[in-house]
Amino acid sequence: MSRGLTIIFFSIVAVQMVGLVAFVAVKQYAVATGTEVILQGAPVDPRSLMQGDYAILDYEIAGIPKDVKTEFAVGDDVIVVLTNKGEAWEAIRYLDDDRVPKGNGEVFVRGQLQSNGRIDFGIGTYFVPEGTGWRIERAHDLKIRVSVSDDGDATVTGVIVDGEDFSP
Amino acid sequence: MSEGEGPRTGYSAGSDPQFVARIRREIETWRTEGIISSEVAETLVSRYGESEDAGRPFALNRLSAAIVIFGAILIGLGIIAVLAANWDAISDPAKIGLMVAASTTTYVVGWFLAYRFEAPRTGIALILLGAIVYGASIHLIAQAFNVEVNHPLLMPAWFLGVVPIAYVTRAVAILVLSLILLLVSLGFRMQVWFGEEFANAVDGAVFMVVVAAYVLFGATLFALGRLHARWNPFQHFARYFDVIGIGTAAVGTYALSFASAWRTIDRVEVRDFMPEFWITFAVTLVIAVVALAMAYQRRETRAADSVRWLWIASGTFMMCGIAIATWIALIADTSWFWIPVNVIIMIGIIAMLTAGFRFNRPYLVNTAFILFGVTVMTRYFEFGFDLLDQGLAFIVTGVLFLGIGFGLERLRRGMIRDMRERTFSL
Repeated sequence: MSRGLTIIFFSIVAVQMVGLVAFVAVKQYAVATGTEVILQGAPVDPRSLMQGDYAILDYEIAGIPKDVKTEFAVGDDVIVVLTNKGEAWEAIRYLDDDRVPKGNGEVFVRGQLQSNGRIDFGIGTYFVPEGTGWRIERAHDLKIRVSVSDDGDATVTGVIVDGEDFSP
Repeated sequence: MSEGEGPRTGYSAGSDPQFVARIRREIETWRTEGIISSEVAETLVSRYGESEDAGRPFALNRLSAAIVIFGAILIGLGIIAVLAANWDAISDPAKIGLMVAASTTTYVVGWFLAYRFEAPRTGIALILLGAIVYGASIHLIAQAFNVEVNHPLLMPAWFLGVVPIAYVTRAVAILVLSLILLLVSLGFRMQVWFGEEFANAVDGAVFMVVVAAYVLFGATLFALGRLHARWNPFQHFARYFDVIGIGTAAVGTYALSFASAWRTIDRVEVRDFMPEFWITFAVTLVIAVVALAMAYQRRETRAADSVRWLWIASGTFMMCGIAIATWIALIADTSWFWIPVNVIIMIGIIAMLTAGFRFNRPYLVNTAFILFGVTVMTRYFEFGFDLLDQGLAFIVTGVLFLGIGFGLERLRRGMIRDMRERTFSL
């Protein structure tokens, strides 16, 4: 292999590794600097070939209450403003993307309205060690720890099963 | 990269490096003078390719290449399975650190083995393993941060990381991994284009749209394969583009040929297609046309080559046409579209048979017979099986299979015998 191609080869390897580290850094920054909220959820328990067992998480705040007058279309970004109600955070307002309540200290999470009428926040998956998903599936009460960034992007950081942090 | 430096997993029959260099120059001269076609030149070059291990028996050469590649794939799959188990004895940061280190190490060790320690096959296998570990690392990080399962950007990120490695190393195994990742990435992007509809796509109109998209992608890969056949450092990639491209388009077209599917699907609205869908496939179509045009520019001036080009262009545009016509048929609610699809399949099979005979390609003849058998039997079961009593149907089907099989076998042997006779008489 010529010197030029050798340099290109190792540059590609370096770009791959930098990409992986950047992926970690972006996600870790979002988790570290975000506001932790606890949301009420409900699980299902399937398996991914590449990433193993996981629980599908659904959220109470993903359903827009009927008394909330909205004009959201499928695919629209929806801003859900949250407030701490003790055990779990709850939705107090559902807003358009162009009415983001930035700067006033309110915590909000961003999602997209699906055709089934529920909002997808991109936090519908929680990976678990092999064979332990049944504990989440059988939970009577499931709460999810979520780190929410200033922009409303959310990352699942843990789950609380029947009042205790899930630790397989 | 100078000619002859890169590791190859093909057949090396040269006796020494000087001989190989000389024969490669001769082959290039024969090709430019029109004495041999590009495809024959490609075959000869791969036969007398780099000869760092010249003199080793052919079978052992190929066997060692296959075994180390299998080894790398098995290790890679093992790593993916271990990561998928999400073993909690090691923390996520430690796992990610280990994977990044493992990927880097396998790349570096592979490179040294391939280019410094005269072990090209093992070296390339390790670089392939590095590429697999890179993909596993992407999915591990996504797992650690609970990124949505099957996120539409994970597979494309893997593909984009691996494909340059294939071109820098010129390694077929890494190219094949890249092409598989490209096709899988397309599927993952479909989630974005069709949302929840994609999950329930089987038997539906969305399924047909997706399948037609794969037919177009197959056509484009084939066109890129023809370009590679005229692109000197990467000629040995051409056949893999061809096989994967035609295979993808063939499987897709077969899926579109079921009458029952066309009769039950709903009409598709143009607004159901996201702009990214149209943009992606407009670009794909342009790539196919440009690749063909560039390959055509590099064609030989012999008359036989022009005839071959007519076949290649017809085949590519027929595949593209199937995809576009399918989308139009879905939008226009044309439930009879399975009929032209089946006619096109039969035309394609006859074209393949004729091309195989004309250009002395026995594999094309064999493939055409297999496709014919599969298509006829599929239609037989789709339309005829329900009408007969089950026991009688098995007997009739068995006799039919025997008769058609016997007839096809005689025909196939006869055609291949004719081809060989023609080859020897040249």
